[in-house]
Amino acid sequence: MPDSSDVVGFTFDNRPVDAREGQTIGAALHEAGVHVVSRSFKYHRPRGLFCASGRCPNCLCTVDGEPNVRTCVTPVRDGARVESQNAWPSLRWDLLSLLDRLHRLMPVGFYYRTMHRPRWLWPVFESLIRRVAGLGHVDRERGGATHYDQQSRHTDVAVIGGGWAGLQAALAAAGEGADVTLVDDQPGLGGHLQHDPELASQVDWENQVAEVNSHPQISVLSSACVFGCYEDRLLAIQSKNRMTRLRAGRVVVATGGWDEPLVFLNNDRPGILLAGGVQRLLATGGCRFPGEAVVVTDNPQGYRVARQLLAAGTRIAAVVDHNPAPVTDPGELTVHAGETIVAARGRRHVNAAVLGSLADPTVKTRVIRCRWIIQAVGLTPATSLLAQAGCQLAFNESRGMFLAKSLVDGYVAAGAVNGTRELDACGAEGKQAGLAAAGNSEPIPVSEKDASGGQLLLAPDGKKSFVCLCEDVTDQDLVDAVAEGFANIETLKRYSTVCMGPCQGKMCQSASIRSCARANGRSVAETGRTTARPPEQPVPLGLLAGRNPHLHLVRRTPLHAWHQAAGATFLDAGTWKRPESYGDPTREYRAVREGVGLIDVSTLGKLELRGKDVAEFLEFVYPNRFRKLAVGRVRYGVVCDESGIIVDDGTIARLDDERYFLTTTTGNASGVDSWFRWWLADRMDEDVCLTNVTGGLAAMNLAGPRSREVLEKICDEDLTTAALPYLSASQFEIAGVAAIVLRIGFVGELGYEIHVPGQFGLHVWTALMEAGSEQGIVPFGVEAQRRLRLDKQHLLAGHDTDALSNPLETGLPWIVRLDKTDFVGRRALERASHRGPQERLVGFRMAGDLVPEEASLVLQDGKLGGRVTSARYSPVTGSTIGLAWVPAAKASNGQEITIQIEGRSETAVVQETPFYDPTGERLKS
Amino acid sequence: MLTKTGTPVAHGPLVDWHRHAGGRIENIDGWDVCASYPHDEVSSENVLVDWSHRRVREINGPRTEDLVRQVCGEELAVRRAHAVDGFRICRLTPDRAIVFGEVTGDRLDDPNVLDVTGGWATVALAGPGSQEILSKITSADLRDDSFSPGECCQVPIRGVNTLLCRWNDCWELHACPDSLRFLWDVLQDAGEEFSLRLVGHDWLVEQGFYETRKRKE
Repeated sequence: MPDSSDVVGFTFDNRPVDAREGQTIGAALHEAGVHVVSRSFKYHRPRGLFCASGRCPNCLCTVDGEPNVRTCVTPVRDGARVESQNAWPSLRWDLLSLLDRLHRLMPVGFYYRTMHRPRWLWPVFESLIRRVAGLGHVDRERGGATHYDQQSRHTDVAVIGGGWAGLQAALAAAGEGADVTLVDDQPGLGGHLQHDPELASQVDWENQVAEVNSHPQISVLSSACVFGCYEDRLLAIQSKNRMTRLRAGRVVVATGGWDEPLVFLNNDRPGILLAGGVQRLLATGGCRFPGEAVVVTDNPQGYRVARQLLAAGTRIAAVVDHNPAPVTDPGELTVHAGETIVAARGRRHVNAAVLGSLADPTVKTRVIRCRWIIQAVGLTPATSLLAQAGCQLAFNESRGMFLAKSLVDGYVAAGAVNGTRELDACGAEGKQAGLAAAGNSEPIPVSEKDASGGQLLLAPDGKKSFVCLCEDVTDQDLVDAVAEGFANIETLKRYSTVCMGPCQGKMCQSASIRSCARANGRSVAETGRTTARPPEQPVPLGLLAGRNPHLHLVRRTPLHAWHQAAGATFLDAGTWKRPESYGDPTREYRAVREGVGLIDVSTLGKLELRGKDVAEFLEFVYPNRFRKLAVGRVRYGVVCDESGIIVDDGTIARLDDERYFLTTTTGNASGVDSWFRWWLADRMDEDVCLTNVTGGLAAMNLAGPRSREVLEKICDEDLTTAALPYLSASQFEIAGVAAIVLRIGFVGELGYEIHVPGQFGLHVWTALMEAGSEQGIVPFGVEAQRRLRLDKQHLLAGHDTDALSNPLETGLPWIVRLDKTDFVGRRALERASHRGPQERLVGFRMAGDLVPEEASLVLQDGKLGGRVTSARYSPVTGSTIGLAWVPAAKASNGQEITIQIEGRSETAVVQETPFYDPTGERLKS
Repeated sequence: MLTKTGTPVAHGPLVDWHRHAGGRIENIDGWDVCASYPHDEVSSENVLVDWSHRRVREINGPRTEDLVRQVCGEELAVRRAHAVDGFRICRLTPDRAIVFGEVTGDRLDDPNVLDVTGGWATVALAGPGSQEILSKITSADLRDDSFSPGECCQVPIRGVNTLLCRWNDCWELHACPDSLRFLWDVLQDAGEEFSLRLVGHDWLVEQGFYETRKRKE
């Protein structure tokens, strides 16, 4: 009995259970006599501990609201609430277990073929199936309670697996001075040696573990599962609620193997366990297996586990050895050599094992009464991480298993994952792998190895011989699926869902390949195996999302706090937050048209180019001319790609002989910056120096007929039209801050685009607002700006244009100077010019206040002829205005076009000239 | 008529955040700066400080090599950083370097040097847990052998292009001011399990990051 001071308590389906501190939930349930811990996925058959090592689905329970917890490896928490899954109304009396008797109605892939006619039937059944199937329920209210985290680490050598080979590899690599990270999915190092005392006695493993744990060059990640191998040796590791991305210089894969289960009738009954799990429960769980046990084996491990059970008080009814003669001295054990198990009897728990001839399993040889059936028929090499990494696996006929045929660069494999069974050989391989990973030895050659073994290819008897415990897929299901045409192992997997459950093929891949091979009459080598993909072990989605996944990049202008205080509503412009309005966009619009307004345009991209050859460079990257742009002047430009497509637009100001200041659209600053640098990389001999000053400058646009009056108050500059005309650029102090001022007018009024160092943005903004109080200045947002610019038919690149828009069709033919020798996009634009426009971006006007949504269709003869890109009601024109792509034939003043609005066809009239101030008098005033 | 020419006050991107969080704001060298937090006495050794109130200049172009040598008095390789006389210089590429802080004399009086003070903002992270905190938000190799003191590199941190510099006493993260508030939030979030403490300019002075300190009363 456990010491009372160590006793902790938890409940399982509301029943109190005592456990020892540190014991797993699974072990505690086993000790408490709870041998049915879950119900199976499809047939709701009772299931108990099977692998007891965190691989199979049998022990999945909901623990404190978290579904699908592998209780066989989860330590007990005092007061924990453990609930069984997939059973209703209770685990013991599960009504849905009727499905087990109705299995003929639910053959493999039944939901693909049945319940689809009449068509309305499927949604009903789908809902029903989804309710009945599935593992556990996500507690949505509790969903946010678990906090996940992520971390990146780097190491010279990563060793995956803390067994004997892994320990040797880590010590060898660290001994060579490498920085080593050892990752193991168990709480303690040593692998099988922790649970197999007879095997462990052969080596001094505990001292090796101590050495690894204290080695300054070795970091140990225990209880950590590598679930993915990605390019360049990036390993994804789950350790509790943290995901570590470990980038390794070299990787030693020493993942060992998984106990191989046998397929026989009722092989899923509680009381049937794998040998490794039994050893774990005996050695670290402190469990006992009262009553009789039958051990089925083909190797010495079976005898070792039989002796371990015997020592723990279990009566060994028989050891069933597949070999014609016992592989090791059986001592006092009763051995039935040359036989195998063909069926288990019992419903809620095993009560007998039926043996048969290995040569012909239909020939039953004997029935042995027992409470436990222990399988020790060898290991399946845990090669899935190697496969994920891109290593080639091939079936090794002599060993009867898939092994690495060739390894990718940077990966070394050692130990049982190579099919090596002997402890000494595993250790030697580990050491060599460690040295190789540290760069001081040749990697282990991949070679054929002779050994006894091989696996059964015999057909199991009966309908309920399970290949896949996760998805309740039987051997017969696979045979049927192959008969239906899903003969390829990949399609068989998708159709039958074998290997697609929580074990991810660890328990079923070998058996399913053998079933497929047998059903096809082919060899296992010819059948091949399915593709291994991450995750190798199921992981919570929260783990992938990481810590605070809602923390997305948000960029704020230097004036953001002011806007917030002023009650602005914000819109997302890419990653930027921009004020959409300050409550009343129409008021803001009128203020600009009639008085003065101020808008934050800090999000504009800003580039500064310096050097003797800037003008030449601009001539090349813009389709218009810049060679003769005078100092102090501004020019509009569009950036085109080689196909002549508009990628951005903005202004280019010449501030000095060799200094230019460019603006780009909000979302395109880095794109244009990269684009220019791309071309500059090819012009290394030219004197052009590009600096992206987007984040460094705050920008604001003071606009409206009274804007000059406002600006005059806080600067000493002559702002008259003669001194600072439309499309001019100047540099002077505003409110004591050096500024670049562009006289441009995106909103169609007298206006000044002011750029100041970001740290003084707030100072200048507040100075302007204070100075403009007499003129009734108002801040205006993006919504008002969009209405204002539409009055002038000023386009928004990327909004009114798309990936097919060239300047010739966008209403900017004057900007393309085909008489220049060369510029980016020239050839394409030349071709487009010869071809003539097929469609054009034009303005349109509609009577009334009906506003088409953006992307509304423009119809021509009832068919798609174009689309609306922008539309707003314009207070100054008293009508709805907009921009639309229309067929070229319709793109002239006065033409009528048809726009589809809410299913109705509405007439609009094309207008090529601006709707407001068509001669630009107000801009130039 | 000129109605306002008052001395401009510079604002870093986090000043309003500091104010709302209870920081004591002072005018230091023409900047509104968070001088301290009321809980500066809290005894966590892991600290985060806003150090955006510095002049920043960018050296660009083919003369970068010469200008950097002029400033440092020695060669400075790419990805190396150099701290001297109260300023720090980071060599990003062969033809690009950033200088944080005031450089005395006319060593940077050159047309290839651009004042980009408003284009950079800085936070510094110090303490024994700082490397672990950073490892939660960047995939850069931060090991001592790979990223030793006096090195710098550009790394993305949750989408923010960050110039990361390692010094003996702290890590400096330089980014565009528009993203600094986000970076600040990310760092605080990552530093939660390390009891990350916010400190102000006074801490920088105490640690000797400034030789002199001018305070405008």
